[in-house]
Amino acid sequence: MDTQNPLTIPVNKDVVAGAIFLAFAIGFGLVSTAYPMGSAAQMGPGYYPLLLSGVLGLLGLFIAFAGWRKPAAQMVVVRPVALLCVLAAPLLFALTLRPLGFVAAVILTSLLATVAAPRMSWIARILTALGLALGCTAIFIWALGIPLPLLGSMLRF
Amino acid sequence: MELLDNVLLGLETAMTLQNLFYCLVGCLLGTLIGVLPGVGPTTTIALLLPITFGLDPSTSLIMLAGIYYGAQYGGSTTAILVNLPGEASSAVTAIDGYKMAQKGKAGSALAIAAIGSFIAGTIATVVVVVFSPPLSELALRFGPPEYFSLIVLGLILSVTLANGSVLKALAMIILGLLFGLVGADIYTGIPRFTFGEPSLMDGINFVAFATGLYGISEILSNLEQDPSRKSKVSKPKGLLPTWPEMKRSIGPILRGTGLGSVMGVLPGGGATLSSFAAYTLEKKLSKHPEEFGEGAIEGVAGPESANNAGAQTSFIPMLTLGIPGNGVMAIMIGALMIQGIQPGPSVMTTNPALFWGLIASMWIGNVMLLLLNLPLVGIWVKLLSTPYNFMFPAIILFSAIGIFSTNMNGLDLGLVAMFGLLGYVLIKLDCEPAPFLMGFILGPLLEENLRRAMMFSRGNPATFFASPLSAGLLAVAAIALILMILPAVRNQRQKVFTE
Repeated sequence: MDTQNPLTIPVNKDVVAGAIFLAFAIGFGLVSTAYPMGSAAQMGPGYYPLLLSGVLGLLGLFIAFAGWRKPAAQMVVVRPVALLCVLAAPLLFALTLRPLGFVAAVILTSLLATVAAPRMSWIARILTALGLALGCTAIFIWALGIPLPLLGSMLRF
Repeated sequence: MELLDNVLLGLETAMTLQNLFYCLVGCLLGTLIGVLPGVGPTTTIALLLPITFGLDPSTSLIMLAGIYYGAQYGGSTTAILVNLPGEASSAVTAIDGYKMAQKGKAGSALAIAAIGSFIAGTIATVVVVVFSPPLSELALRFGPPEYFSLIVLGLILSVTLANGSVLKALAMIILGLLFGLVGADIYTGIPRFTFGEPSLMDGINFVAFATGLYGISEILSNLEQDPSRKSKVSKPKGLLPTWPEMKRSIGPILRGTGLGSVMGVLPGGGATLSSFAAYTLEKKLSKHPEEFGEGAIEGVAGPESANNAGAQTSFIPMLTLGIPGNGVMAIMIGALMIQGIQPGPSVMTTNPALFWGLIASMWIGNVMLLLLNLPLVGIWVKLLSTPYNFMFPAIILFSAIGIFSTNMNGLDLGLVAMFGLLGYVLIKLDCEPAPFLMGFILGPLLEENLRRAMMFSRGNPATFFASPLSAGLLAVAAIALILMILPAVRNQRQKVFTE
C-alpha cells in the first residue's frame, strides 16, 4: 500500500453534510416523540427537541439541495487504518485499565495509536510506548496521585 | 472607591501562594501544549481541563486562564518559528512573523509579540474591570424573555466565527443544542436521549465532548499526511528587539489593543477577528505597505496585541452574562458548571473573590508570560522539533487518562471516540466546530428560558417582543443573520478569512 501520498476521495461536501444533518434530525426527532409533548404554555420534555429537530431537518434538506448541482471535490482524508487506530485507542485504554492495570493499558494504547503512523519502525513504537508508560505513571500516579491500579486484577496473584 | 476595593480583593485572591503557583503552572503547561504545531488554544484548554478539576473553583479558573494565555502565546511562537499557526487567531502572525524568522529576526518577532501582548493585556484588564460591573447589573434585571433573546443573539453571532456557509454553521448550532439536551429534563426529570445509560443523566461529559471534537479530530487531520516529516524550525538569535523596531511597534500595539478590546466583547468576535482587523488596519496605515508579507514588524505587533486584548475582553460577556463569545469561553463556562457555579450575572455578587481574583490573575498571567516564556524560548524551540509521531500518542493518552480519572467511567472514552469521528467528518465537510460547541453549552439554558418565558406568557410567543430590550436583541440577531446571507457581505467575509 502506498503510504507516501495522502488518500483522496471525491465528495460532494454539501450533499453529505446535509444528509448527516438530516439523519441526526430524524434520529433526535423520532426519539423526542416518545416524550410527553405538553403545550406551548406548558412545554413537555419532547416539545423543544422536536422543534429543534424540525429546524435541523429543514436546514439539512436545504443544504443538500443547494449543493446538489455542484461537482464533487477531491477531498484529502485520513487513511482508514489511522482512523481506526486513533479512535480505538481511547476505547482500548478504557477496556484494559481494570483487568490489566494502568501500566499495561498505557503500553497497549500507545502501541495501537502509533500504528496510525505508517513509517514508524516497530522499535520506535515500542520505545514510545515504554517512555509513555514511565512518563504517565510519573505524572498521573506518582505526582497527581490519581487512584488507578498500576497492575490490573488479572495480573495480580 | 468601590472599583479599587474590587481590584484589591482580586489581587488578594490571585496573589495567594497557591493561586500564583497554579497560574504559573497553567501558563507553562498552556505554552507547552500550545506550542505543538497544529494545536490551538481551544484544543489546549480542552486537553488540560481535567487536571484543574481537583482544585477549588477560583484556583481552577485562574489556572485555566493561565493555560489560555500560555496557549495563545505558544500558538504565536509556532506561527513565527515554523509557520504552523494552531488557530485562526495566530494565522495572521505567521504571515510576517515567519518572514522575520527566515531573515534571522525571530528573536525580535517573539519579543515584540510578548511585549505587545503584555501591554494589550494590561490595558484590556482595566477595560474588563471598568465595564463588567455595570453590564452584570443590567443583566440582573433580565427576565426569561430577555435571556432567551440574548442567547439567540449570541448563537447567531457565533456564526461569524465560522469560515464558510452560514447555513452549515446554523445547522451546527442546532445540532449542538440537541446534543446539549441529553440528560434529565429540568422540569420533569424524565431522562432524554440517554438510552437507559445512568451516567448520561447529567448530560454528555463536557470534557469528553470537547476533547473529541477538538483534540481527536485534529490528530486525525494531522495524520492525513505522513507525520514523520520534520518541520523546519528557525532558531532565534538574540531576544531583544532593537530600539527602532520598538519605536515602529508602539503605534500598532496601541491601535491593536483598542481594536481587540472592542471586538473581544462582541459575541463571535474574540481573538480571531480582531487580529485580522488589526493586520488590515496596520497595512492601510503603514507608509511602507509593500513590506507587509515580507517581514514587517508592525504585522506582528498589531495582530498579536489585538488578539491578546480580544482574548481578555471576551471574558466580559462570559463573566457578566454567562454567554460565551467563542469556543474558549464556552469551555470556561463548562469548567465553571463542573465546579458547581452557574455562570451568569450573579457570579459577581455571590462569588466576588472568584470574579475579581480571575480578573487580577489575567494581568498576573500576562506578567508571567513576559518574564518566563521569553527566556524559555529555547525549550519551546526544542519541543517544536519533536516529530509528531511521538506527540500524538502522548496527546491521546493524556486526554484518555485525564477524562477517565474525572468520572472513572469508560463510557466517557467512548464519547471521546464518537465525537472525535463526528468532529473530523464535519470539519472535512466545511462545518466548523465552534458553533457546535456553543450550541452544546447554551442548549439547556436556551430551553430553560424559552419554557419559562412561554409559561409566564401562557404560551404566547409575543412575549419575546413585548419588552423593548428583548425585541431589540432579536432585531439585532435578525439583522446580523440577514447581513451574513447577503452576497456582498458574504464575499467580504470570505476575503477576511482567506487573506
